Amino acid sequence: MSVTSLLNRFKSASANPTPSESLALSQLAPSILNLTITDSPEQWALYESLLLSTLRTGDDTSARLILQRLSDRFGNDNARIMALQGIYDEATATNNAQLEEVLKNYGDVLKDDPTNIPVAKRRITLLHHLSKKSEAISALATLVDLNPTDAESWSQLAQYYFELSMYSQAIFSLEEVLLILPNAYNIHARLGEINYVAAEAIGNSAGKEVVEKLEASLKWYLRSVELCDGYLRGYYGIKTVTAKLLESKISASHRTIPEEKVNKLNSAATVQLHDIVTGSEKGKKGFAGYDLAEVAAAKELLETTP
Amino acid sequence: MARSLPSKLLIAFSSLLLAHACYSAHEHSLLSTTATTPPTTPSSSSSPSTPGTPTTGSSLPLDITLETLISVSLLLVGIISSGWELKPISLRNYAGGVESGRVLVDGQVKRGGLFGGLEERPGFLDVRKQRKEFTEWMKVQG
Repeated sequence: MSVTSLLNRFKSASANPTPSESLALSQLAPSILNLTITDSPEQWALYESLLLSTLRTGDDTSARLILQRLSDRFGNDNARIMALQGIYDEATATNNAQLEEVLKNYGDVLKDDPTNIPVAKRRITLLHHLSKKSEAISALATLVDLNPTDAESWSQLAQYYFELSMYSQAIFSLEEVLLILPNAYNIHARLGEINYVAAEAIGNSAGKEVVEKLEASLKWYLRSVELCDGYLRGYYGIKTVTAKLLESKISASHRTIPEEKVNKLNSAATVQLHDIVTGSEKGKKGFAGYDLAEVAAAKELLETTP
Repeated sequence: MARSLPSKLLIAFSSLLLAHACYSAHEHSLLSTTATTPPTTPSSSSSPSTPGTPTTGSSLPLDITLETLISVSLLLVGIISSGWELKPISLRNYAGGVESGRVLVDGQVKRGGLFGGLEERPGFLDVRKQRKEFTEWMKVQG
């Protein structure tokens, strides 16, 4: 196989592949390592993806060799190579003391060069992995201060806040992402989800605050399907939120969106979800992109709420 | 590219019309040279005007001009309306196409949509967690 077709195989897998996917990709290691090195950007991108795959599956000998070739080519002081070296060290560490050592190394690197973004991200991830969540958050907050146009960091910060149930901070961080990438429809849907979870978390379910959160959630979901036609996640959210808003215990006095409109949105979302579920189940050509687990969830939602 | 029947007919008809217009123009130019050259050059050898070039007075008749213009416009309409699939130019369509798998990115279905990187975040990859998941999966597999 050529470098391009191999690279496409890696590209079609996500950053969080399933174990069987990882295994299949990692087993490509011998054939990739046996290719002659042409020094093309594609080949190095392939090496980088392969390194991550082999580390996931525990093929440390291949990983060592790949890392060696990468650092021979780009040098040990390249920021990206340093981060890859760090990933290798993290993955192969056997106990917490070794992990602390890796963490210390990251700290030393950052002391010399605080703008080494890849290593800063590694340090934050490792802090979070070692359950030092508040330290991870403050380090990430410093990083976004330093580099405020990095959408990935803001998005990660939102995730950390979300895990600690700090919903308003999470929402703020995601809104920062939208300032950088206003068309990111999945972030709109994510904002809908967080607002919905925040509404659920308030508890006493009839209050003004709950209705406000639910309506905010609905608006974010609506924007996400406005930006992306046939967005399964968005329609799923619209159906869930509108069903919640139509529950009798939500008092109508707090609502700003008229009930008739909510009803209409609910049935529109039902129609769209139904189309996607039937299209995907029949294996029609234009529906191959939907995630099967998501389609199954949508089907279940349609069955439980008519 | 799939073409609908009416536009196919339109393309065929207008092509025929265009070919006819070309043929008429050609015939007309031949006719005008043969019709105008003999009276001006009766002796046929000592003539200042070379035979075969149309005289300035004979221009193309109006019906041939009209036929050409109409056939070209009809041909254009036929080609444009022949129903090939246009590439989506609005984000809503394009993103929706990528999401549902109608639109291929680099020749394959793109998982996670256009902004998937924002939720996968490769820079913050927790490799130890993924490694643990993999070992557990391997144990289950036996």
